[in-house]
Amino acid sequence: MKKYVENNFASFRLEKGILHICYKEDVSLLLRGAMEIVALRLVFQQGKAYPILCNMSGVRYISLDAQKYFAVEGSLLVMALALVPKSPLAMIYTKLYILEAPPIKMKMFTEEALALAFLSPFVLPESA
Amino acid sequence: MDSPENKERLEKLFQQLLEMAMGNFSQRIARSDRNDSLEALIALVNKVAERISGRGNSGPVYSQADTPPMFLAIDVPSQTIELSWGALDMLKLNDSDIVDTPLKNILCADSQKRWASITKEMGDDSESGRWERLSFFAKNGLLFPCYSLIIYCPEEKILKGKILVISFDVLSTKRLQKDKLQKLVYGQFQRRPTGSSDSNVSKNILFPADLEIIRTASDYITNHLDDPMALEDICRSVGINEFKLKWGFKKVYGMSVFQYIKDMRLSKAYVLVLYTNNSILSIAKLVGFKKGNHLSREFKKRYGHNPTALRIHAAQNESSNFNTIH
Repeated sequence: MKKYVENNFASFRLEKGILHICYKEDVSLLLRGAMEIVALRLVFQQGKAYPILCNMSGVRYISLDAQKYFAVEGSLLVMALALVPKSPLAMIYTKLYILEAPPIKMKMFTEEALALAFLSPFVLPESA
Repeated sequence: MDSPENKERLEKLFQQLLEMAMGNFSQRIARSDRNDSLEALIALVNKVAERISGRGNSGPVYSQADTPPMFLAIDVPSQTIELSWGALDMLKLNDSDIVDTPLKNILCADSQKRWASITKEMGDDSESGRWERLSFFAKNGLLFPCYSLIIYCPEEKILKGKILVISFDVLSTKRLQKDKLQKLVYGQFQRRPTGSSDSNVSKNILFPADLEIIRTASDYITNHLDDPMALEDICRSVGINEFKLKWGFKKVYGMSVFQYIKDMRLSKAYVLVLYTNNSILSIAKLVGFKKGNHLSREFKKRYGHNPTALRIHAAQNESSNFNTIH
């Protein structure tokens, strides 16, 4: 199984059973982009659910229909989600995402170490 | 905060809030490359305007008569606007102000890049028209994002070699839809036969406050798609009676509650069928169908193929998978 993949919007890295998603700099997400991200993530995960650590710091804009797509289709195969915003702008988009998103286990952190600690109980033994 | 750049950003923020206070939700503040608190506030104000105007929830929609579209004819070699009509309505600019100026002068940075790639792709063999989302600068410095129909005219006599850009204010369509919905809500009062009892009134009228409850119900459904959902659970969670939920759902979303649930489940199943190798049975269970054949039957009704056939078809056309919109 591949450990790393990327597209124009984000990179996906699987490390110790946790999927790290990092958005690229200055990304504007419209519906088409949201669909590409979800598609690539699902292909990368090969049908398995993973705990996810997501860094949205590079996101400049998310449209409403992209937000809606992330809330429904984008919640598939996510065991738990930790979001780590690193700027006030990323914080706003993270909070908007949390307000809109379905009740998957999800939390916002300021430090990556705390986010990883939150996700660690969800790591499957075979993928650790 | 006192830097000239920040002062300008703050001024745009005030300008946008003033426009919104006056009921204009069509414009947006141009975004900078900063990540600071002011930028976060600007992003949030834009998001509020977007949410109120309802932009982004639909694809290109033809605008209705209350705001005419803007029509621009672009000369390809010089990239300048040769002919303009309707800019005054949309951008508060006189048509004569923008004739002979490069189109990129009235586009935001992202749209300038988009425009550059559009013109590069457009040739003699290009399609007759395409929809793009472009953001124009209005006279007050705020952005005006809109859907634009872009047509290249390689052959036509008068417009030979020109690109036509026809931009629509989607909000005007949304506004009409909202008016229609409000008429529907208030029209119920007029249709009510005189002498009907108060209990019938409260039972058959969808009050504006109920619209919010119906939206909350749709959020509840989105969040519980994996669970077997009973109408009573939805009603209890949002505080509405069953009759009003069923009736209101049909009025607001144009479909029954169960159709809505099925649609959401099928949308999730669709991406799992396309982008995973999971069995149809496991996908069915993951999205809330009890049996695989139930999913297959409903899937075929909506998408025209059963899940397995779609998967085979998608594998054969792998390169187009990422562009599929359903």
